[in-house]
Parts: sequence; structure tokens; C-alpha cells
Amino acid sequence: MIKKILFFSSIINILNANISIIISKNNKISSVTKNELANIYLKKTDTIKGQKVVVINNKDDYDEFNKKVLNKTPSQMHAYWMKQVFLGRKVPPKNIDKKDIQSEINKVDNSITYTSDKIDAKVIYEAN
Amino acid sequence: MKQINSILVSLSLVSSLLVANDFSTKINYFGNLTTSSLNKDGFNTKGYKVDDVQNHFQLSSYSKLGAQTTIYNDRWMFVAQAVTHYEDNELKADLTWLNAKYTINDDFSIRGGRMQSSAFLNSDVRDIDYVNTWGLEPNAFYTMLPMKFYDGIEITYNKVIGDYYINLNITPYGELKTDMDDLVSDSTLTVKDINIISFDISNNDFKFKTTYGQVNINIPIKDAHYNTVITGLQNQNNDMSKYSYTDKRISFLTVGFEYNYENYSLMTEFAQIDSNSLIADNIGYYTMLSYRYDKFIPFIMYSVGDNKESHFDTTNIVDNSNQQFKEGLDQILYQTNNSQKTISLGFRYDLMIGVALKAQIDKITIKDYGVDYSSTTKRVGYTQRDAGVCDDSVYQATIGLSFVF
Repeated sequence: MIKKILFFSSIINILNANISIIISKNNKISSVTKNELANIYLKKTDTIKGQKVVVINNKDDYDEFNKKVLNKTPSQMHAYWMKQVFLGRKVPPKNIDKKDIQSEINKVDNSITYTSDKIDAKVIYEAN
Repeated sequence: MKQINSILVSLSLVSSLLVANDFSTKINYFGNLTTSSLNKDGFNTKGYKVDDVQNHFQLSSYSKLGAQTTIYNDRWMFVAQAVTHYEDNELKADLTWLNAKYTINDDFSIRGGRMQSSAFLNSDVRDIDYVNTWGLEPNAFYTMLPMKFYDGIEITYNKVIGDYYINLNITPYGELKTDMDDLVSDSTLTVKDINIISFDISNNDFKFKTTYGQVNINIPIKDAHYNTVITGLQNQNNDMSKYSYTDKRISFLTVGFEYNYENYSLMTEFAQIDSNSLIADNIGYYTMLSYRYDKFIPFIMYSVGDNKESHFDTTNIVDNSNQQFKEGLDQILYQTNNSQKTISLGFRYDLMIGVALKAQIDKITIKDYGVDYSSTTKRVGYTQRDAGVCDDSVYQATIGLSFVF
């Protein structure tokens, strides 16, 4: 019985996993607002509080991040980026696998990304 | 087609050269497989040909296939886009984008080459139907300006200020040459001295956009009937300069607003066009309200394109030749009239990422006269005309797939 409860509890935890927006511990940025995240992830700007950042998408948590932070469905996000590409304005951020996030954060101090896992990096925003 | 093929081949070569210089390349495709039907004989809306959509479903001229190559790095972006569609049972192709953009710094960029008009909220993505909720655009509104794309220069300034994103576009120069085919002209349209300034401000929930522009149009009219009428009235000391397309300055103003609240989305636009020419002064507007149930988005839209009555007032024209020329002028003006209002109900269903099913029913109502040049419907209030069709309506049903990949 206890095993069953633990199993369903872990399933619920996975379904409601928090998305942590992370950056290298060496970076000076300590926090970010939801609007700032929207602006950099929609490539309206590439700076946060005057500091240049490189945004990276985590393929595995992409839909969850878009839903919780950008309030957009997968189709809406696709339509947004297709519009930008066909207008010749901008291209979507780089996508990487979840397993490569730690090395990316370690390698580039101004890379900003997100994950539902525990990563050795500075958490600057939590999306529930 | 040959021109487009050679350009695409050239771009592929350029692409190969640029790959060695830290450039990336994207190739994307888009299209629309759409079928439409009108419920009434002898009537065709703007953008359709009579044989396409009368009383039975046929692939309409909204069906299209397009491709785009984008070559870019941090500073440069090169774009080439071509669209093909069927018109008059013939495959036609347009080179709709062919430009280079240079990002000067975080705020400024400059673009030169062929680009689509950004006068309205969605006029620069009219061919990319997938990104829009509607199945068919409000065509009485989006066809108000006599240009879909042009060759020119565009300077852009954009900046994030607090929660808002502002964008300023200036087109100091642009021009366009394109073939026309209607009863009055059957000629080449030249648009020169395109000067446009547009400003928009947005955040996650709303977008406000306004544009002001001026263009110079020139259409040499070959129609013999037109030339006889205008010359006849000129010979009777009437100033007929207003009734031509020769070297005419057109100005336009647009205001657009988009607001998203939870699953609701409201989009509305207004535009006014003024010209002292055979093109009627015109106002247009539309409002669309949609609601998102996950992948299913029903919408309702109301759109109007309305010519100003003063354009058709010929009471001050003197005709001493038994009214023949004046009646001829009235007929010509009648042909230039396309006032209409449309109520649309429809939905979009996102079948999968990049593919959407769309369906729409339009009730199109003609105000007094109409867009149908070939029928016997005439303007109300003028003698020696057939009976008018004031407030007559037709229904148009459309269903199709829009896709991008």
C-alpha cells in the first residue's frame, strides 16, 4: 500500500515538476522576472539588466517551459517562430538535450537555460 | 518561374560559400490546400476567379506552396522566398522576399531588397496562413493597398523598455512594378517613392501598431472606352485629372490592436486610404474574437471595406454631348467600386505541430453595388442602369489545411 502511495506521489511530482531557470554560478545575474524571461526567450532582446545572455532551449522540458513561463501552447510557439523566420527577423534559440545542460552551463558563463532536474548551477527563477 | 529558379540556384551557391564563413542555413516550406464554394452564380469575390468557386467546391486561388531559404549569422541574414499558386488555370509564381539584413547593434538593423509590406498587423505574413487563426483573411481590408511586396530599404529600431517591446520601422525608399489585369487597366502598375513609417508596442498580452505611408502610383490605362470618355469630358473643359492613375500620390494610415486575455484573443484593425485618383478613398476595418480550447480555436470576425461616396459624385462634371461621356464615366467609376462587409464564423484546429485544419463560412454583403465586374448588378441611384443589388448577400464556405515545416 505504502509503495503504491509513493509510486503515485512520484508520478504526481513528475507531472507537476518545477522548471528551474538556471545560469552559471560565475554569472552576476541573481534573479530574473517572468517578463524578462519572455523577452529573451522570444528573442526580443538578448540582455538581462544590461548583461548579454545566450538563451538555450532544453528539448526535454521545452513544452513545459513554454506553458509555465511563456503561457504558450506548442502550436502557438511553433507559429511564433515560423512567423519570425518567414519575416526574416530572427531564428529560434539553440536546442540541446537535457544530458548536455550541465556541460553547457559549465562551459559558457552567460548561457541561460532551464531544467526540471537538479543541476549544479545558479537558479534565477522557479516556474511552478 | 525561370527567374525564380535561377535566383534559388544562385542562393544555393551563395549558401555553400557562406557555410565556410560561420553562416547557418535554414530551409522552410509553407502552404495552404484550400477549397471554397460560393452559393450564387454570377458573383466572385476579390481574390477569386469566377471559374474557381461557384456553387461547388474547387481548389481556390488561396491554395499555394512556398519555400524560403534563410542564411544567417550574428550580424547578417539573407532571405529568399517564393510562392506558387494557380490562377486562371495557370501555375504562377512570385518572388515575395529577397533581401539582406544587417544588424548594426542591439537596437538598429537595416534591410535592403524585396520585402512584403508591413503596413498592417499581418500583411507581411499573408502567405503564411498557418500563423494566422483565420482561414481566409478579411480580404476587403487586406487588399486595400495596391502592393503586397516591394523592393526597398527598411531601417528598424527596437528596444525593450520595462515590460514593453517597442519597434520602429522606417522605409525611406521603395518601389514596385507588377502586372495588372482588370477591366479598366490591363496594364502595368508602377509604385514608386514608397515612404512608410510604422510603430508598434507590445508585451505578452497586447500589441498596438500604427503605420503611416505615402506611395506614388502610375498605371497607364490602355482601355479604349476609358480614353474616349476622359478625352471627351476634357474637351468640354472638365478637370479630369482626378480620374486617372497617372503619377498619383496615395497616403494611408492604419491602426491595429491585438489583446490576449486568458484563452480569449481579440484582434482589430482600421485603415484609411486617401488618393486624388481613380482609386477611391477608402476606409476599412475588421474585428476578430477567438477562444482557445486547447487545439480547437473557434472565431467570429466582422470586416468592412467601404469606398467614400464623394469619389462617385460626378454632379459637377459638365457633359454637353447628350450625357454619353458622363454615363461612360459613371460606368468606369462603378467598375472601381468594391465596398463590402463580411461576417465570418470559423475555426482552426491544430492537428499537429505545423499543420492546422481551418474552416470558415463568410456571409458577404454588397453595399449598393459590388465587387462583381462581370454581372449585370449596377450602382443604385443612377439612371440607365440595371436594378441594383443593395444589401444582397452571398455565402462562401471554405475548408483547408495550412502547414509549415
